Amino acid sequence: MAEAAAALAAPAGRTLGSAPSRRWRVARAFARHRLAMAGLAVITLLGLAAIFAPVVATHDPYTVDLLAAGRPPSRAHWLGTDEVGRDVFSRLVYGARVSLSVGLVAVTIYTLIGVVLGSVSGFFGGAVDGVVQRLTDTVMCFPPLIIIIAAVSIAGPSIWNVMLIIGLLTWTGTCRLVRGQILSLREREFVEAARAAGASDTRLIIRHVLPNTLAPVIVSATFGVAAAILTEAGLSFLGLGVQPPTPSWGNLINLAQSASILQTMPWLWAPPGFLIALAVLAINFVGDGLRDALDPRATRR
Amino acid sequence: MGDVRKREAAGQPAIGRVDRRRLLGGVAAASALAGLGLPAGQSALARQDTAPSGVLQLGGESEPAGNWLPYRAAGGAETQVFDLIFSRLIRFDADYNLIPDLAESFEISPDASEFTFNLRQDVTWHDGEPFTARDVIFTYRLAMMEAVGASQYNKLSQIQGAEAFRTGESEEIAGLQMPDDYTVKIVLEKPNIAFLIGAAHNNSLVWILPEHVLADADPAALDQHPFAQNPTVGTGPFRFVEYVPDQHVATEAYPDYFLGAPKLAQVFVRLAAPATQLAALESGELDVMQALSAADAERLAASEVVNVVPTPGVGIFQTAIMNERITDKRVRQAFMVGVDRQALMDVVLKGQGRLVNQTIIGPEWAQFDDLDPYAYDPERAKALLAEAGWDASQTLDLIWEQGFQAIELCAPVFQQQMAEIGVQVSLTPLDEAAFEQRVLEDMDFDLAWFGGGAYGLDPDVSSTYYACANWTPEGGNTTHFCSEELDELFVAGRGTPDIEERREIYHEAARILNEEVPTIFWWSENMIWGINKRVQGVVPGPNTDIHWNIQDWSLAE
Amino acid sequence: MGAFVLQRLVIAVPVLIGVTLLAYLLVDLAPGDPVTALIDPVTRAELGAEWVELRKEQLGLNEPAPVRYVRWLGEVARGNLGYSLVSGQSVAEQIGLRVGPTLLLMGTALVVGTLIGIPLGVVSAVRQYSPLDYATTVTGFLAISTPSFFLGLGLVYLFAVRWRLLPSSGMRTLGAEDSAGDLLRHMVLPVAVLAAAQTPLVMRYARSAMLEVLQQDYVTTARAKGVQERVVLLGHAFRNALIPLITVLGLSLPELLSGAVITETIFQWPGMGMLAVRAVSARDYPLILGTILVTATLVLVSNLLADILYATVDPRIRLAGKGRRGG
Repeated sequence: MAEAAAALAAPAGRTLGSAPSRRWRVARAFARHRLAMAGLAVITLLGLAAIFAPVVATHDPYTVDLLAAGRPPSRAHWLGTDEVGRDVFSRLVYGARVSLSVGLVAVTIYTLIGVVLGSVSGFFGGAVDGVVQRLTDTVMCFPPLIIIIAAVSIAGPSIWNVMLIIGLLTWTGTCRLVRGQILSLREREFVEAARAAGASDTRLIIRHVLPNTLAPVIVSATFGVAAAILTEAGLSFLGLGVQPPTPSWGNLINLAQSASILQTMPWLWAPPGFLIALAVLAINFVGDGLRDALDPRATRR
Repeated sequence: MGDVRKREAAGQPAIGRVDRRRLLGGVAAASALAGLGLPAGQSALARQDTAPSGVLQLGGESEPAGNWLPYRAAGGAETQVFDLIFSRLIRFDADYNLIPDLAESFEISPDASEFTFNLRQDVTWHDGEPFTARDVIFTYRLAMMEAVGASQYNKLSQIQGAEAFRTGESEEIAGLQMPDDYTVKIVLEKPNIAFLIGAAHNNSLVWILPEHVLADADPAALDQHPFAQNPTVGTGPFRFVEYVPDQHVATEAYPDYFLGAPKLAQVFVRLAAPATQLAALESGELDVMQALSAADAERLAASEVVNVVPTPGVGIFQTAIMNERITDKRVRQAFMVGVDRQALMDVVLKGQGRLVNQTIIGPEWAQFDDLDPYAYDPERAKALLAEAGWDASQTLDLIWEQGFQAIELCAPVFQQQMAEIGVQVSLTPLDEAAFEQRVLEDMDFDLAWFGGGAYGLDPDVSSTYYACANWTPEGGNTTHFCSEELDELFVAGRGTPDIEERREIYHEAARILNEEVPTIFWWSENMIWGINKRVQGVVPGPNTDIHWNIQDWSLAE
Repeated sequence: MGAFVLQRLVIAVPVLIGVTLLAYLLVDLAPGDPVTALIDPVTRAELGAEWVELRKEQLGLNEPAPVRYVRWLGEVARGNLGYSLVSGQSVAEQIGLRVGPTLLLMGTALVVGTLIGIPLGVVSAVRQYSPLDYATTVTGFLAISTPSFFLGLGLVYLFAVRWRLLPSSGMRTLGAEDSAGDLLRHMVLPVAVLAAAQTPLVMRYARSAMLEVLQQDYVTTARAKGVQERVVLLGHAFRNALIPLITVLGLSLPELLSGAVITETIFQWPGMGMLAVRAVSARDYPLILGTILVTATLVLVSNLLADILYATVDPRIRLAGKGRRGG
């Protein structure tokens, strides 16, 4: 799904004028994107719920109550209880913490790796580019989920390993993206002008080239968060995600694998299913809005 | 499906059984067994039945290794296939009564050290060759060679001269004899009536292989022999046709099967994870599925497609206590009474099981109800802990192999109820490799949760897990429990075929296990079958080898 | 052009070696061993440590990792992927059985995704911000926002268990004659799940590529010249928009292979994805390495093809020559 993120981020990157006016224009363009604004609102809400989970949750997410096991939603338990009487709503709220942090941390890791390697590779070209690109090629050859399940099953499925492994193995898309941007940028007039004016390489990269690649990277990272949440859910499906009793959206929705729960206890799987789709959708809309806003060519005709 | 790693877990139902008559010890008396042979005419009659018709699908969970020589520790799907295409000397019916297979009868010496099997004379291999005692001797000899690395050797090493043969000191195995073409005699080093279970039980002793096909095989390279991939020569009711990985194993009826021509034309073992199997069962694609969950059983009770048949299981859900760390039996007893096992079982198993208070739970003559039931009593638990001077500041780590859903549900309940009596427990799910490392190799754990075993088959099964000599890593005693008194009882129990004597012996053993609590005993889960209503003639029981009479199965139109 | 292809091929060799090395390193870090991976703890405890040690010795697992790696690589160079530790079967043979079903599934999903995705994307771009654009965007995002296993389980429940319209799993009806119709019926649900993830990607790509092209000077010029809108769109814009799509399709292979892991697992489809899962859970080193090597080769080849195609249609990228500027 990391590739999907990169794929969804359309090529952009031009000289975008001075920073303040650009930021303003981007913000305005973003605000006009109604889906993106809605997405932002949803994500903010979910994020707040995750951060303030102890306040938001109505029960302790780990406390079992055999006398109230398997109950449908009620006033005492808004979303019912699971098979051993734990409060579903509270587990969802705590699960948000886990799932959202998996997304954020994994993406931070891979964006950092991808940007550094990609800009070095794209800017210097030659042997450096050769080495980095061979490494990228190598890592890219591994179908992401196949290599992730191998790595997670080897390292052992904990939340930290899941984050780290997704991060370490999915940076190639960003790397390629940044490199591609820089390849096309460095031939552009403004870079040549700066070079002619005697700017150093580092300065060139950081001041002139990188800012122009930022837009697609941000967009790609946004999609990446969504993708990582889905990857965690997929790993849970294969039994390699965050392990119960720690709740994550992935292992909560995975209860639907039991045909009995699927058919007779919808309150166990429908809410996490809805939340995963909602969160991923919201993040994707934000990414979409960002892309449109950051890419001047995609504005209204 | 879900967990990629846990196919075996969910699919590892207990094997063995409890409450019917004629269980192993009962049948072991030679006289009782002699009458078990089928009249010779019966199979001839059956062969005149109408032409076989119908295609049946059996569910098989664990993916086979693709090696069809029964010398490896085999998963559920493999033993199903072995049962379809091969035969054993003797076997169990659905309720774990011993019934004849290739041997139509057998005799046991009074000290339970000599076993004589009288073989059927009307058996042919799928290629038409006659079956004789030579095939049996050949199969056992292979299993006892070091080069073959058979998982059965552990059991076969009891045979006289096994060690000398294995090390190459001797060409012959003194205890493996063939008085004539249709008689096999096995002599053990030490008396062991439970050796018979090995001969009958699915994963322990050998399905008989054709000498005329494998005679020239290199024992060290058996896996590479063409027969290992294409075992088309057996003596079972069905003939091997093909194995398509992750899809199915196909077999077709063998009309000259010695117990009568099968009524079904083809039987497939459909390889799929439990959730996938369940969908196929509900949609009418799959005919027979084992080990339904209690929740699925409840839901499917009113199904128009599927009959749900619960039968008592023989495995035991247990939490192993490392006895070297928790040495005071009062603390271990406190664990038993400190948790409401009945309430938990009602929630998790919806009544599909029974509580267990020690591991000698069958056969019928070996069930004892005068033992401490360890009913839920937090006050008693606290008192026991206080007596033992329990240090409430320490935390016990509970490990299990992730993917076991029942444990995932039960562990937090256990943790919470232990906290209420003042025992702190931390929960650590581990992946399979790490779990096995901790439990079997490093022996580094406080509490380790798992299920399984075949305790209900014969009381001697408990010796595998609780005898002093069987401590891990050499044996199966994961708890490092040791009681010389218990060990002596185990030896005595093996040395006689007399049921009354054995009952006395194991009653005492049960008392010790019940009082010492080497492990937290939870319950024995029912074995629940899901069987398509169109299938006729199936006799479901606790035995996972449901196909013991598959030649009589048919499909209603 | 020939030089370019040759260069890419030469590059592919160290990449392949890198792949095997990384894979080997990864696998070798694993705790646990294949002798006991498939045996439940109770049985294993019963078998005893001596038996486990014996099997390890027999399987050559007690030798140091570099020795095993080099030996394996040498065999690979001679076309031998080794033997499964679990079954003793040839790895190449096992993989050979799996490539077909996976390619069939992925190929179909790719075609379905492309056939639906491109027209939708183009129309969305031409009518940007129209209700149709919003509808396809929302539906598309919804499709990629739903975990594929969830979609798969739902489809199985509805179409197989509830309505009994389609088979729940597998590749053919057991005991029935093999037929194309039967295969197709078994393919519907897994292809639907894979295509649900693939279609939106293609669609979004087509949309943004088209948007970009529509703003190029030559399109404006053509319009200004009074060229018919249909001709502008199909003749000028669409053709150029297709260029990046080649890369997208080429690069979506690893994603599809990843999707196959889950889809094949749900539908018991005997492809590479299931094999990978099986190899990983059994710690069957030769099989894991073989699977990774073969999937990586597939990916490598598809990347290579995408590169070459891209260079063919967009000379700017070709390293061999100095490209022209502009679109």
